[in-house]
Amino acid sequence: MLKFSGWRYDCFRPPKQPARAMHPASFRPSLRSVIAALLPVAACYAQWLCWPVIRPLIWFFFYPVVFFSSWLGGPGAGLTATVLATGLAWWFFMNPVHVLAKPSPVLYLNAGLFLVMGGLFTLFHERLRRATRRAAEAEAAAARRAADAELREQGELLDRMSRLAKVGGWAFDVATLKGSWSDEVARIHDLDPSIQPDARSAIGFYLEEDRPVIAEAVRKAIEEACPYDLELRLVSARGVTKWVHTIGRPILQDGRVVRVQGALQDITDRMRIERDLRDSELRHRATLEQRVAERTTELQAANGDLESFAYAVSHDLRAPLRAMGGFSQALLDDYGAVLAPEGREYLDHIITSSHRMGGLIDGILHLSRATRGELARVPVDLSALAEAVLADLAGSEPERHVRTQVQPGIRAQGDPRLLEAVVGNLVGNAWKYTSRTADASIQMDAVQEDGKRWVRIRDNGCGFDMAFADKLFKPFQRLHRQDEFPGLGIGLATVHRIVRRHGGEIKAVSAPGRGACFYLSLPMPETAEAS
Amino acid sequence: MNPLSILMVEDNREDEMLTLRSLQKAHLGNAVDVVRDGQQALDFLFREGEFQDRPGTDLPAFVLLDLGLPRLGGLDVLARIRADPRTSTLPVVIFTSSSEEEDRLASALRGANSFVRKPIEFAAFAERVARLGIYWLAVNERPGGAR
Repeated sequence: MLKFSGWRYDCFRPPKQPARAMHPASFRPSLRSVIAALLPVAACYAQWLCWPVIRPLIWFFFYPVVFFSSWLGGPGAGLTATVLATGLAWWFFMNPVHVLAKPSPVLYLNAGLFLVMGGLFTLFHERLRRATRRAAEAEAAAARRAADAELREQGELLDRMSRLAKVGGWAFDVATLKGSWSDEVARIHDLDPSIQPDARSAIGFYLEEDRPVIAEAVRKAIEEACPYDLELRLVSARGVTKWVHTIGRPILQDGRVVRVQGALQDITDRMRIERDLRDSELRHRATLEQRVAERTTELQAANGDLESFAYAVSHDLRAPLRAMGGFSQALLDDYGAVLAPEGREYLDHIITSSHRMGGLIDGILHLSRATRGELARVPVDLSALAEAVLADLAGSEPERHVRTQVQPGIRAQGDPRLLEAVVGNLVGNAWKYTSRTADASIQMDAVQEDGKRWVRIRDNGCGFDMAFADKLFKPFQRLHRQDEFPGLGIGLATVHRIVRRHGGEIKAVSAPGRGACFYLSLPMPETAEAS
Repeated sequence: MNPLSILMVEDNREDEMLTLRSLQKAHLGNAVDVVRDGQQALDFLFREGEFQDRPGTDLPAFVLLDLGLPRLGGLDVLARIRADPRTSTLPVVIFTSSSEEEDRLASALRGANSFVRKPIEFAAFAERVARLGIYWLAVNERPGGAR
C-alpha cells in the first residue's frame, strides 16, 4: 500500500506476523519498484506536453521524478529511473532531438550532473530508509521488552495470588489425557511445578474413598460435557491429606469435548474452621440443652413443692379449724345452759371466725389451682356460663330484683373450669356490689377496641375509687369494708391469674357510686363462631 | 351376733371425736372401731399383728377412711382392701378434708364406694356423718352381708 504520512516508510515497517509473508500483498514492494522505475516515462510524457512552456529546462520534470522514484522504489528502482530518465531526456529533449548524436559539451555536463544527482538521491533515501528501519526495530524491541516485563509481572502477581488463595488452574487434553497445571496446583499436590501430570495420575492423588466420585465426574465431563464442582480430599505426594475444591469445565469443539479445564483450591483451612465452628456450636448447644434440662428439673421440683404445700394447706389446716368450730359448737350445745349470754356470744365468734378462715383457705386453694396443672384449650361459651351463674344467684337470693342482660354467643378458647371461675367471680362481684343499689343492673357484652375483642361485664353498683385500682387484682387486698360487703379479697386475684395464664388481659374502669366495668380479653375459638 | 359396726381410720383425734359425736347425735348406736393409721386398719381387717385376737369375726358394715394417714396412706389401704378377696366387696367411704380433683379421681379409680369431703362448719359436718351412717348402716345392702 502506498501510504505516505510525513517522512515515514510504511512499507519497511517490520512485519508483525511472519504468516503475512505468504499473503499476496507481499508482492507489493516489487510492483512498487517497477512503478517507481517506470515513473520517468510518465514524467517524460508530462514534460512533452508542457515543453513549449518550460523549454529549454530539459531536466525540469526528471529531477523530482528521480527523487520520488528512489524514495518509492528503493535503490534499484532509483538507479534504473535515473538511467531511464537520462536516456529519455537525451532522446526527446536534447538538441538535436531523436538522435544519439553527440550534443554540446554543456549537455554532457548536464546529463552527467543528473546521473550523479540521481545516484545521490538514491543513496540519501537508502540511508534514510535504513535509519528509519533501525529506529523502528529498536522501538519494536523496546515494546516487546516492555510487554515481556509486564507479562512477567502479571505472572508473578498471579502466582502470588494463587499462593495466597491456594488456588490454581489445570487443563488436560481428552485425546491424550496429557495435561498441564499451574504452579500452585503442583504445590497443592506437594509436587515440583516442573512435573506436568496426566488426568489419570491426577485422579490417583484423591483419597481412596473420594476417588470414584472424581473419576465419575471426569468421565461425565468428557462423555456428557457435564461440568463439575466438588469438595473432596486428596493425599499429596508427601502424604498430607488435604481438602480441595475442584471445578471442571469441558471445552467443546465440533460437538465433542476436546479439553477439560478447571481450577483447584486448597480449602483445608476453611474446612477445619468450619468443622471447629460446627463442633463448638454442637458443644454450645449441648451445654445449653443441659442447662435448660437442669432448670426445668429445678422448676418442676419447685412446682412440686408448691403443689404439696397447697395440698398440705388444703388438708392439714382444715382439721384444726373444724375442731375449733366443732368443739365450740359442742360446748354451746352441751353446756350452753350453764354459760352466761356473753360466754355464748364468745363461742359464736369462735365459730364464725373458723368458718371465715375455712373460706380463706378455700380461696387460697382456688388461687393456687388457677396457676397449676394443665391448661385445656377448648371453645367455651362465656354467655352460657354467665347466665348459669346469674340463675344460681337469683335462686339463692330470690328477694333481689336485678335486671340482667347477657349478649348470647360470646365464646373464648380456654379451660372450661378456670373460665367458669372467671365468669363466676366477675358476675358474682357484680351481683354482690349491686346489693345496695335500688335499680340494680348487670350486663355482659363483647366490644371491639384497640384491635382486640373485649368481653365487658358492667354493673351499676357501688363501684370503687380508681386511685386504688392497683390493689384490685392483688390477693387479700380489698377495696370495701367487711361490714359493707363481705369478702376475702381472693376472687379478682384468681381471675387475674387465670386470664394471664390464657394469654389474655383484664382491666377495670369505675368510680365510687357509679358502677364498675371489667374488660376481659381472652383468646377466641379457632373455628368461626356458629351463629 | 354383733350388730353392724363401723371401722373408722382416722389419725386426727378431734375429727374422731366430732365424728363419734355426730353419729351419737344421729342416734346411731352401732359400735365404732377406731384405728390411727393405714397399717392398723389392714391389721384390724385381716386380724393380724396387734389385732390377731380381736373379738368378733365379722367385717365392719363399712370403712370410713381418711386419706392423709401416717405410715400407709388411705389410697394404699384402699388398694389393699380391694386386692384381697376377703375384703374386695367391703364398702369403703373416703372421708377427707381434701377437695382435690386428683384425690377424687384416684379414690374412684381404686374402687372407693363414696367420696365425702369433711366440711369445716360443724353443723354441716354432723349432718354429713349422720347421713353417711344411716345410708351405709341402714339403707345399703352388701353381698354376703350378715343381716
